Amino acid sequence: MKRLGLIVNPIAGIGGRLGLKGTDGYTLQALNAKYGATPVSAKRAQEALEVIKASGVDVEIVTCGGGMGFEIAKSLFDVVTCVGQPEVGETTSADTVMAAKRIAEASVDILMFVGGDGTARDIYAAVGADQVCIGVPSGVKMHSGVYGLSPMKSGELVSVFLSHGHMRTETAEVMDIDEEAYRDGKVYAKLFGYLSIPVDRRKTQNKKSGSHESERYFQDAIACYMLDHIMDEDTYYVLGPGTTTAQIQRKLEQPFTLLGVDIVYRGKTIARDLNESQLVQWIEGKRTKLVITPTGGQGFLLGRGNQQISGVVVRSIGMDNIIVIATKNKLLSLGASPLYVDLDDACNEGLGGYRKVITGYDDVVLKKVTY
Amino acid sequence: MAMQREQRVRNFHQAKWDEPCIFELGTEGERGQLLPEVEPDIEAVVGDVFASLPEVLQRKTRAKLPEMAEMQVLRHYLRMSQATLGADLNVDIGQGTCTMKYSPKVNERIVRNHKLMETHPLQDESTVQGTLEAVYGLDEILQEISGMNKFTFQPGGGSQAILTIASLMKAYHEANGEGDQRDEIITTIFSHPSNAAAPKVKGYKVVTLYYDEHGVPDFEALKNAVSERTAGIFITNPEDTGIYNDKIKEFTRVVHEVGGLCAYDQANLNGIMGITRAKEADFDMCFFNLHKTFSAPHGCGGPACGALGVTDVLKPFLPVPLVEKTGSAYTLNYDMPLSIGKIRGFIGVTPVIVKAYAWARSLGAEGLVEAAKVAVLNNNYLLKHIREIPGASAPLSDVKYRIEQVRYSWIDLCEETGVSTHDISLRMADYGFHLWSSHHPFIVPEPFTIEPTESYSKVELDEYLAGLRQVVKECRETPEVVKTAPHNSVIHRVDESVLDDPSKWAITWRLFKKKQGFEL
Repeated sequence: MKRLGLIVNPIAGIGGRLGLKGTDGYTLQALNAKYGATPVSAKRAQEALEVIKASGVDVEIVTCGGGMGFEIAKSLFDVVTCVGQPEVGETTSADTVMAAKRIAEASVDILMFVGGDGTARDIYAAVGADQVCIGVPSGVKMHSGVYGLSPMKSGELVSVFLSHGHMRTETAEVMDIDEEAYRDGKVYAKLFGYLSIPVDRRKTQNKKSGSHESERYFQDAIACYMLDHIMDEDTYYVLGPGTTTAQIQRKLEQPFTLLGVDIVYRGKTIARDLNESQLVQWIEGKRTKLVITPTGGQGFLLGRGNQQISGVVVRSIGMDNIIVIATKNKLLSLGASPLYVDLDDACNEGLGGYRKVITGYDDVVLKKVTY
Repeated sequence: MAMQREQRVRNFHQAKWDEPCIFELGTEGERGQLLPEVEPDIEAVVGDVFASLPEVLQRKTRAKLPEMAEMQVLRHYLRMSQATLGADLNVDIGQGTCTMKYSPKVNERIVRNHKLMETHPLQDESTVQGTLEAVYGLDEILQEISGMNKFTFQPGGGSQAILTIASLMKAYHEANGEGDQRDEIITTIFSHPSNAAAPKVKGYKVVTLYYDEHGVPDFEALKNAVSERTAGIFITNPEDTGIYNDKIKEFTRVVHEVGGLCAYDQANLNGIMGITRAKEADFDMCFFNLHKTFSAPHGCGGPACGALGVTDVLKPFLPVPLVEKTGSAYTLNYDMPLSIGKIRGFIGVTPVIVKAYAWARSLGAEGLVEAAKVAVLNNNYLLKHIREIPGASAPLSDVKYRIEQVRYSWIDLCEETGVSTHDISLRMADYGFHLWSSHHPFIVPEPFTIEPTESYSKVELDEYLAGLRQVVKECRETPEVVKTAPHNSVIHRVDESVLDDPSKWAITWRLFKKKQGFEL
């Protein structure tokens, strides 16, 4: 019987819809009290585990209690071992580190964790690159290259890894936003270390990449085209995160948030860093278009790094009112991979297919969008 | 007994003269030739010849040309010639995408014949029948190779041929009353950048297709891209990856179904010459760079020829004049009311056309097909051996064979040793091989593109492979040697960052001095 380690960060991903830049330093209780937040990581853990269960692989789950995996695992698998509990009711970074150490000591074949970059950093701090790991994407910040493309893809990867006697592993970057650079207005992901992950390029997220200076010229051409030919006076433009969308506001000499969602109307930034509910309020009853760009090297249009733009927001704006912009180099970095969306099923299906991506002045690329 | 060169690399060292730029040489007042003053009697008859020049064309100050004696000029350029790894000096197959093949010297002799050299493009056509016969003859040969119905040789290179195609598309749709409606051109990310740039010059919007998991343009994307706005598609096959797109006829069908035109960028025809034709793939136009497939020398940006062929439907729109045959006489036809006019002067760069004509005639129909077959054979011989070099790979497709070239990758070697493809290319120069540099678009990590053509012998291919193996061995054993290469070349590493900095690079001496803050 194979052994699968499981760690769920119960509060990972909640901050996305709230417009937070991550939930590091928060407790679930505090988020609930302040924002009325509901957990998302448990659902994502369940999606991944269901795929593993469906694969028929004979596996024992080694995990921890207190919302860190035991409860979900027990609902799906017969053999589940609990090796620890959070110190106090709410989980903290220290609990993730403790859990990872104990699970690794229990000699698991692979450790699957559910969270974002903060969780990945904790896992790295506990086990380094010695333990084979895979992340289930559930964070707000996911600059690291350690996650599957979706919970289901992570589950598939674990199933294949456990079924095969030998599967090549490689070290993947654990990255998080360089907060000092961010305060200076730059999105630079900082390298914190490496985790060992199974190799399947199609099922693992590419690490996000900061923009090179030469990219600015291309971003500038896109921004000029948007302002000259696309953006009109009667429409509210919801600009998603990223340096490419921010270039539009730079050209307008308007303030912007690099990782947040802003609204531009008649050449002015009229709202900044909005969360999901604020966005819904702002766009209600208005003629609105959404301008988004794939985040970093992942190729995700929606559902990663911009969770404020939820299915509710997308439906409210309208599927036909989404404008995708990206430099050709950014698209080339994705190889033959399509662009991805990761919202609710109805949105995913509605957004799927081929979409025009504005890549320059009067210049578009046709890219497949899938989920 | 022949020397066994294939298993070892040369003990090469290039001449290093530390030669200044010619503008830094010379002495004020120094001259190469002293010409006699104009005799007063002649001046009295002719007068001041410069007075007839418009004032705006007359220099206010003397040109600051180098002032040098003939011997010093000769010495300077001989030294410069030793500081190159020219096409006639090295095994040039590392210049993938350029289609480096031998340009027979006999063809140079032919075009230096005074009957061609001493003619003027404004001469009456009755006095240049031989030149027109050669142009017409090459037209007929290229028609047979492509299946097209008429060629123009006016475009001075590939990019001008592409601009001509965009102009023809516009003229055709305007003639059909659809000029305003059809405002989009489709191309692919693999295509030469001019395929996107030239249509933009003509006012078109450009839609670019990316590649699919088989390493060829995404057919499903094309189906989603075409519409009543589609003016046409510009596509290449095989692309620089050497992968043949076997759905090419489907591509043209989909574009034709919406009323668009199909243009085949065959700047490099080398792997499929005489084997497949543009006509059978239902293209409306195609062009060949005569300095690639047809052996005319590469002009380093100088005069060349993008020979452009079209079907009968598009012939009325071609640039004027067209070389035609009336009875036994060759004529220049300017009477084409639907013509797009001129892309370049006269009928094209005739020495280049005549060289290509001579080359094609010397090989004959069977020889042209044989050239393509040998080019493909050479490429696949290299492919097999390069795939066996640990650390090298041929990404994008698992197909066993490629056509005329391959875009390889050193990514595995780079991850293992930290040595990049740039380092490796510079180290190859230490063994007398030209470095590679052309890998657009950069979809293959740590790329290198090799294109052997039909010109190189097995011994030369083996010698090149020995060079690659030697450098790969050094990457593992003495990586610092590779990372600091070249060591035996004309110059050591240069700071290439200035090439991307518009405030520093310069293409003239004057501009260089200006940007460096020197006195002009």
